[in-house]
Amino acid sequence: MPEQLPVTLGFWLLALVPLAALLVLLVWLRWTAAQAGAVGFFIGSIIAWLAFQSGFEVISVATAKGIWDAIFILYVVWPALLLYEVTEKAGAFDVFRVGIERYTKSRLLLVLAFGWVFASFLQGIAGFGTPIAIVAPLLVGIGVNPVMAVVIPLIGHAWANMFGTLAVGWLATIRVVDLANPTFTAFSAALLLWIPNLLAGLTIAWLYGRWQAVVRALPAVAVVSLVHGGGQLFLSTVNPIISNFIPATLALGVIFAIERLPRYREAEPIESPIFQERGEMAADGGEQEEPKMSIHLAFLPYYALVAVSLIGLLVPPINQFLGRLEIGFPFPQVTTGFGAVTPADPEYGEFAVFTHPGTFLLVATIIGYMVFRFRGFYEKGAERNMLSGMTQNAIPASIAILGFLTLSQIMNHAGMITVLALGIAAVSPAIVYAFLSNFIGVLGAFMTSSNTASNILFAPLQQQTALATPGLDASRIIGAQSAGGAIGNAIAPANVVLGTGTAGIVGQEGEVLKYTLPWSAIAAGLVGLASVILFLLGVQLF
Amino acid sequence: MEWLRNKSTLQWISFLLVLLSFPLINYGVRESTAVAVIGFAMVVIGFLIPPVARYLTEGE
Repeated sequence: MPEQLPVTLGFWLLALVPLAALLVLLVWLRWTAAQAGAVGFFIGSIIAWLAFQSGFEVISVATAKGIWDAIFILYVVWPALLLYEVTEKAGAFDVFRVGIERYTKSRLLLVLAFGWVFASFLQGIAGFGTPIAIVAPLLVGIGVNPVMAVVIPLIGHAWANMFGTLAVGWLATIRVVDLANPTFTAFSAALLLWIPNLLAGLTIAWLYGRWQAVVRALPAVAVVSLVHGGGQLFLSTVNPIISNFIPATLALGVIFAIERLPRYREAEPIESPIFQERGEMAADGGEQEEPKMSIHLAFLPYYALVAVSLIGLLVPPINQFLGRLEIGFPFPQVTTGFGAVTPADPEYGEFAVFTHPGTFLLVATIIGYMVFRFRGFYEKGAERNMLSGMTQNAIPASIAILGFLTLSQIMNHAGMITVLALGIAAVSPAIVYAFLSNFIGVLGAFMTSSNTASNILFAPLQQQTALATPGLDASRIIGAQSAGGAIGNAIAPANVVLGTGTAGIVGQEGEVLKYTLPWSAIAAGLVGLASVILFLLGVQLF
Repeated sequence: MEWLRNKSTLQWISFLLVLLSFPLINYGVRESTAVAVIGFAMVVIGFLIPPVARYLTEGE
């Protein structure tokens, strides 16, 4: 009964406190994500208890659900870190660095290929943070400084969240809202998602070498964005399930073709602040000696990851067989003093273990390890170093993810997230709401680190608001919500922690957010403007 | 008590306390409040460790 929730300025500000505290602790005070996440849990619990009348049962159910949500993500984090260690200890990252520099002289194109095109491809097939966990160490491997190695895939993969992972976000959305015009809703979402896609390509080029690099990268960015954004827009009206996967895969081929153009054959005469100097790389453990293995062998675990994911997800009999084992836990209904009800769930957070990206990562890791071990690429005691390297990064990352997701569930169960969204809706005229609706999506993704969860949380509310507000169209508003949910993944703490963990810079989450926060604000602002234009035009295409 | 100043040990304890509380809370909220209280206490202690450790290991 959300209508009993106190949607007043005082309660709205109280609901905002845990989020503001997280940002202050992470960005301003530079606490680590584990410390900030843990403190966020306490702040959220106390406000939920004292102000939002959430008793022990509500908070404990929310906490347990948050832990289960975190386990789902940690099953990506741990195998991803192990994959990194298995690859790194075999010396494969030195091979990436040397081999790729031989393959293409354009480091600008290389950064775009890894941070945007490959990250989007991984989001298309795997998702759940896999693009960050895989691409961040690859970028470090080719010499990008670790903070930028996390920032770039965070920005580069965001647009692909809604229709990525075979459109899991879209499927969840149509399950929670009864859409009058699903085709136009998917089209609106895809149209708005083209904005963060194009902006990602341009931003990565800008980070590489400011405006000089943007001008140089412009043809490549335009072509890739046409394939990504245009392809997704077209396919969203045909079959949303494959609307991200197909263009993201095509773009992989396109970027290889672009590399053959004379413009990108030679190294660009641009000084890039994102690359570490040779001396720094050597100090970080980088070697410049002749690689011991071929570049394709070095990439073997990643080839295995792509192959295993494609077979596991796209071959129906295998997918059905692997999808048989599903795990979920029962939770009772809980109600706050304000009447915010969270219904009982017989199998909360049910997921198929063998089609989870974590399983694909684990299989790829085992294949990589066995081949590297068989070929003699490991030194004595390498296994112990791998495990210690993995836990060193995985433990603080795991505490942070547990903190963020328990906080998210507590805020959700206490009705705090609903108060935040209803507060925005209550004071916004139709045109302002059209602008702000995607920011609600951003908020949902920031809280839950998931486009899907953001849409599950807010799509019903957005639809109700649109239907109750003259002039607003529910399809466009849910499209904006979906675009916001995708953009929010660039600042989602669990994603940031995943990146800092795999790039070996645990504790520097604030440094990463200093770049991804402004980017997300700009992207959401542009999506908001586009939503206003769509609102003013009032065109109904389907 | 030197282990109390070991950041890595504290992080392990924090992580395991929060993670292992899940079955207790999940069972407790359905069957026994006392079990849920124990589970929730584990979460509270687990999440207290990172900010407390920040001061215990300051300067390291």
